[in-house]
Amino acid sequence: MNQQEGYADDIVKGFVIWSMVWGLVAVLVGVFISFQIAFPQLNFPPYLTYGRLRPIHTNAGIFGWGIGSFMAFFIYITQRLTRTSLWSPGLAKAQLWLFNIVIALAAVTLAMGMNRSKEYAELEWPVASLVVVLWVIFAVNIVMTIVKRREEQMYISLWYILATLVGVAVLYLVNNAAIPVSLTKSYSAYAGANDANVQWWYGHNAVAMVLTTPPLAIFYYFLPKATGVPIYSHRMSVVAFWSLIFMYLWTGAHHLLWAPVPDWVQTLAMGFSVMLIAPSWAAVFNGYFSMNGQWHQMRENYLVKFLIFGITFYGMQTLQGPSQSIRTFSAFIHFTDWVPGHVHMGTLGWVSLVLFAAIYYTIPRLYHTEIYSIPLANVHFWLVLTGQLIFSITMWIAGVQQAAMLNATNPDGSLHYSFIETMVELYPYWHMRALGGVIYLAGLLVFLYNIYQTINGGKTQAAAQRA
Amino acid sequence: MDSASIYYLGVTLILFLVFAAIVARTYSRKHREKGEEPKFRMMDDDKPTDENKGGRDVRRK
Amino acid sequence: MIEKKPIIFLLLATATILVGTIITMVLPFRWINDPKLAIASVKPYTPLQLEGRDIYIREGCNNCHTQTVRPLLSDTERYGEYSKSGEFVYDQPFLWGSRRNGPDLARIGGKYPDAWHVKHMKDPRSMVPRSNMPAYDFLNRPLDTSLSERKMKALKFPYTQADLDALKGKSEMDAIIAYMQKVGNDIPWRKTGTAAVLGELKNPFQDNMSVLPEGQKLYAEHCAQCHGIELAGEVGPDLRDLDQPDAKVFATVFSGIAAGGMPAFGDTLGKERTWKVVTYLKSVHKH
Repeated sequence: MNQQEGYADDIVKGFVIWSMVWGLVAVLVGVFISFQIAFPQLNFPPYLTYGRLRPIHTNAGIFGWGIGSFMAFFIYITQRLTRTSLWSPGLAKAQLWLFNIVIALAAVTLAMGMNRSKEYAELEWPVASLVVVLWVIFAVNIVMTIVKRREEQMYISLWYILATLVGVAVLYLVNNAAIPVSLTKSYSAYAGANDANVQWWYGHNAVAMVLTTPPLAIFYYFLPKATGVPIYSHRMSVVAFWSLIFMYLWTGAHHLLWAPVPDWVQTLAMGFSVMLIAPSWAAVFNGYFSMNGQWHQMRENYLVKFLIFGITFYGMQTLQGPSQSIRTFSAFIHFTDWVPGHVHMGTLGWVSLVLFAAIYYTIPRLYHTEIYSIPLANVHFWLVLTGQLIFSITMWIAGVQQAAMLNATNPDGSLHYSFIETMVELYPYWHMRALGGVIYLAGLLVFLYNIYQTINGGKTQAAAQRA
Repeated sequence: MDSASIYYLGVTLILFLVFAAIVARTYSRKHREKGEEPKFRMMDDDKPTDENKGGRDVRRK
Repeated sequence: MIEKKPIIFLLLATATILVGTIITMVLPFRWINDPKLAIASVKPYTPLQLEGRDIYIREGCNNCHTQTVRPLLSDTERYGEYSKSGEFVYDQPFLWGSRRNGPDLARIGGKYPDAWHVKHMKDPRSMVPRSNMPAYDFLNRPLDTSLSERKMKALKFPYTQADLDALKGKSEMDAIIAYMQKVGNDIPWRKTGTAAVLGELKNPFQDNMSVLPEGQKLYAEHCAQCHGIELAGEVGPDLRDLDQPDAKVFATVFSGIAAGGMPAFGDTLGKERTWKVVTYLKSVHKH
């Protein structure tokens, strides 16, 4: 066993590597479906149509790449912040197996059309049940490790980790409640507008508990580690923590503005979405102020570049999000390409940049070596940044253009464009988006090559030392 | 103002007071040192040893 | 304090999360789907419609098509009457969607005749040039009805043996079209919503040859899928040598014929462009 100084780190390696595999799948499928939108003849029914592949893209991204790497870093971070080895490495090993089985099953069943249709909760009930088992195993292991810790106080990352564990559990259980018909088919336990309200309570808080709190835990841990300087204010992060987890849960209905759910639910969602700017930006300021006197590291330290750009995109995301939550603006851009542009700034910009930094930081340490190539890491950075910006910016423009066309009227009050007339104008933007996706994919391949060589180098060095 | 509005206003005020209490406690002079301690201690956590400098061992002996 | 007590911290964090959850997610159950908001004419799905809905879900149609018309001009003018919560009480799951890569389908029921849907599913671009919808020709395979009865029972929908027997020999295409013809069609909005044509119906472009190119272009975009680019008819009837006064043709294009499957184009085209189409139609003859 290659256990580093008492911490169970072999299992971290497994989760990091597999999350990268699923991340590659998510991006490959994403690039493919972006081409399908621009070139419909690339749909190969029944299994390879946009309708069946898009859930595979989102599930592989959120659960394969996202949750997989969060599991890796929660295990890594928790052990260090508690100065304790993992409660049960054996359980974690079982968890890695189950994780890969679940994600693979998800991909296969979704391609076969076993799909509950609720976004980010598409998995049919047998697979969803396995997700619950997976999460319980994971949560117990982390909580028990924290309970038997040697460090008296919990650093902010542990706060976010604990909130994630309980938040995801509540969300997933409620929204996946189903009436099974057979092993491969079930119906939602809720109907119509109720189902919609439950779904978007879940959907938006998947953004909170999967795409916000875990990356924040990781950011708060790896930024000080990368810069060598403590975080600016632990107490500010504490105030922001309570505000964030309190307010997020009220905001789901901003996905349902103008839909037939009660008006007051929509209004509350709108108000709380705007208020969320405060705790979100507390994290952004905490990141920026931690860089006081350290800004030169943006040039010298590639990890810092990933992390600070990541938190910057988080800041922009948490300004753009609340603005979209306002009724009038939502009326304009909702249902257009603006929204995928927004989402991908968060997932490709914020979440993935922070995860890249965490992987670059941990992999050399786990394998007792140095990173294979810093220039390649810089190439990776610029490629994924360019790809993501092309994606998001073209989608914002496309969304505004389509919204403006959809709202254009003739002097007699009739609409100026039919739907299809507005849609065909989007093709050039869809070509641009596919290009952005290809550039992002190229960056990801550079990253994977760099990590592969780093791990290889570590193994060769270890072998040389033994010889 | 009808009763519902007064009720909502009350809830809002209570929420604000809870928030103010969290801020006051977190930023109290008494709490200052403890509140900022974890950010320094996490900088050196690569060795899970008992004799780590200044580390309080909270395990039940 | 809580920084040192993970279990107490966990409970506090859970309580914090539950406040917003209870108020915005649990409490609305009291108001949503309230019997007072029920719409008597909204009926549960028949076995065939339910099978069609399951195919809609299986193929992930909701990834590109929404099913909510918002009470906004650009939505109601384009798609029809805005959606009401009482219309969705039998929708488990809801299928409102989140992105319109294609048009909203909340009011698709009764908009086109079945034959239109068959052609469109087989080859979307033959009906809507430059559409990016995948072709769903493969839905012509037989419908799997092995679970139909259990599905109806699971959802507690009423059905008869005759309903189940009627599934025999149906294709998946039949099912999804049966479903789409029901969507949004349970309230009588098409009849009450039809724009009455007021004022004098006199063609402002009578004998004005200069509008013919635009009329032809509009015809190619909006009418040719059903009536053929040569007006010889296909899904819809032959339109050459129309033996009707301009005002009658205008009323048909503007308001549609609900019973005959002719959609209303008044909302999309407006009066002026409708008159241009009418002028073009009247100018085309069988040699």
